[in-house]
Amino acid sequence: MKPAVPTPPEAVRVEGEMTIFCAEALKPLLLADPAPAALDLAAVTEIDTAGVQLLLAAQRRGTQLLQASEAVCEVLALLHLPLPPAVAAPSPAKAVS
Amino acid sequence: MNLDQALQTFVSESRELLEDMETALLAVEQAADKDDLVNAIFRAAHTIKGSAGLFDLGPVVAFTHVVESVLDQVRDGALPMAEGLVVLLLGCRDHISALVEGVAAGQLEPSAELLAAGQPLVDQLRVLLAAPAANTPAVAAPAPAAKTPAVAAADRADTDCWHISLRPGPDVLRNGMDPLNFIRYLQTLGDIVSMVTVDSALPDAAALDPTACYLGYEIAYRSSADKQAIENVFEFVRDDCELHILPPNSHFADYALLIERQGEEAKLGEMLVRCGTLTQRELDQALRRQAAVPDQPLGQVLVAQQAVQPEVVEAALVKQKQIKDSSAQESRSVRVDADKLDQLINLVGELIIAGANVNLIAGRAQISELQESTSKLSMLVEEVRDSALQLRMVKIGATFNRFQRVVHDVSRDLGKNIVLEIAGEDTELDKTVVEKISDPLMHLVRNAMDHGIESAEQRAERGKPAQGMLRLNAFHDSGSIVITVQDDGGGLNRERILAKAVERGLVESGHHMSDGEVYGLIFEPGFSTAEKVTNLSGRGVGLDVVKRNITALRGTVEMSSDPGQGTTVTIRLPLTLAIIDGFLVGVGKSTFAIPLDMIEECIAFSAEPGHDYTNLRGEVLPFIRLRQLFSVPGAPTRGENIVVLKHAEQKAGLVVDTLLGEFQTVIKPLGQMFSQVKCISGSTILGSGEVALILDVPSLVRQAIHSGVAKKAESVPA
Repeated sequence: MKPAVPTPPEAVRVEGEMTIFCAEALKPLLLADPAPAALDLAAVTEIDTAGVQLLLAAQRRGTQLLQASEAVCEVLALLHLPLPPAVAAPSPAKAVS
Repeated sequence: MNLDQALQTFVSESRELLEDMETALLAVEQAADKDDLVNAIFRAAHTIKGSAGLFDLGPVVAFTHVVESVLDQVRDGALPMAEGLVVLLLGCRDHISALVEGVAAGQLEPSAELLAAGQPLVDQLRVLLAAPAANTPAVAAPAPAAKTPAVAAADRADTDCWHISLRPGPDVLRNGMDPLNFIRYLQTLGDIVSMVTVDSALPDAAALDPTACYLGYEIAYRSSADKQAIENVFEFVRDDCELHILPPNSHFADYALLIERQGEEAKLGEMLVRCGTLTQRELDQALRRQAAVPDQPLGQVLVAQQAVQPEVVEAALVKQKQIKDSSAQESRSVRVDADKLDQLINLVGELIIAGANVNLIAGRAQISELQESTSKLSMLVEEVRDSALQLRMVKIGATFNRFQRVVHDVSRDLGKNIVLEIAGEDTELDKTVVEKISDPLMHLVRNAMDHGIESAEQRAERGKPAQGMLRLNAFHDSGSIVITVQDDGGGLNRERILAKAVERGLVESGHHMSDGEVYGLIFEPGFSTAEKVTNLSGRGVGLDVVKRNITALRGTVEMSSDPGQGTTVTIRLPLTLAIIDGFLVGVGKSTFAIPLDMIEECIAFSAEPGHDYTNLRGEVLPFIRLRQLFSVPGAPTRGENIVVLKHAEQKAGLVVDTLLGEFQTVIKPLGQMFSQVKCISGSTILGSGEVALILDVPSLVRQAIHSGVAKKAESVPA
């Protein structure tokens, strides 16, 4: 739930839920100024529309989606949105940190 | 979402649009520059079709669609806007109107007769569409199908998918709903073939509210479920989102409509292609049916700069323009229930009465500060009154313009060539008066066209231009509004009217009458001099109804005529029915109110000895003694005054004891019991709580002049 340490130096990593309940808290992180270079959603357990919106808003500002968990990928696929380059498995993502 | 209310709005908007359409249709024949008018006609049809689509009013959409197609051809210059087409389109307008009125009456499915009535129109339109077949590939074959107002198969998209367009409202997420769940649920009913997530509403990072919903979805969906079932998926968010579901193989026009409806998402067209609902070719075809680019240069610039498809720009511009139009209109006017206005006027009336009471007490208390405040208060109340009454004022132009159609239709029926000229359409008068004057005017206009204006041959014989002229005019004149209906026809035949009146026993033969009085006879019940009865008028009903209606509005009607040159009917009506500026006069212990606008001046009493008239700067001024007229007890005081009244270019004096000054008069109607009382038009309540009667100036003036004449007649025994 609590946003975490950046994965690669300049990437923002989110752990836990990415839903309406923590959208307020996530916004300053994902949409920080200057825009973060990349997002790591490999440890996201759940994502809803509010989360997708934040992701799209971040991507619009040039932030790359590095990797995403299965939960995120499922929603992105459902909405026919582009998937991250490397569809990440939940556990190896952690290894990067 | 209250559908009933939305439907009401649809009906009233459609009525307005149909009115605009009619006006434009009637003007288009004469107009030098037809483009604007044709566009206006097209826009009206187009908007009605669009709104009807929202309510699933299939028959309205289907019929209007054909009309729109023809109008599209006219706009492209493929069809000339000839007289025959105008008549046909007027017929179509009436049919749409009938369909809409059906909806208003709660009949969502029109009756079989109504549908049948529309069929000949559709057939005629089809013939027109078929003629310049060059740019309409589809409708050439006159479709025999009676029920499905046919649009041939080539008009439909070649897809077996439903198209779902979902725009959740901003509060959906906060209400605990997630559109994702509905989309997941959709998968259980069928296949989501393709989908585009629309993020164009997503604001910049700074403005983004993470708990609001900004995303929309365009979904191509293959399923055997019916529309109801698909709709039910979204049941929980129905009220909170914009949802459009198009069945497989919908008309292109429907897709185009959808594209237009989605505000800033001008790229929707592309999305439809991307999510596989339409092919690019189909999209082009759908868009071609849409309006032409209103602003060609801008469109071209956009295409050049951003390399967007021109069709997309087209749809976007049309949408943009509509938004601009509608928002400009919204900011200009507010729709208010007429009852609320009446309520306001009533309250203002009470306020004035209460204010008068406060004034009276303040005057009695002799506290100068209090008097100062109350006088300021009265001034404000007066302004409130004026603006409240102003709210009820409407221009008579709309009523006048309705007669363009009447004149157009009736002159065709009669085989006469008659043109209607309108003047003074900006003249304002009370809404109730406008509503009630429309019927009497209709009688007068028809009567003038039927009996007044001669046939073309007769006109040629008399050396008049072949085209007859009918003129409606309105203007303000000393507290009344004057409406005239004037024709350049044969005029009234004084002798024939008199002969008929004698025959009917309305007047005695040999009785001397002025022209005005003779012409006035034709307003008597059962009076008609027309030799043949036409289906329009001549049955002797109508003109007496006209007079009765106008009298009920405290108005008068007069006729004047130049034989061979034409007839003019002059209607005078009070400006308002609710509150007036009055002038109070006292006789004995009674107080009377006179509408201030009708008072010319006040002078000290003088009279020619033994006569009921006085010398007003060299003019004879007949007068009435109010004390005598109403049998007010007591002897006349010494300093009597004459109030000089003016109505319809005639003057008369009114002898009163005292002049009491101006007073805001709230008109209260008299009870049924007093309806026969002459010379009184209503009552009002004074500040003291006493009742004062309001004098009916027109009848007083008439009586003064009449009694002058009668006296003269008595002195010369017949």
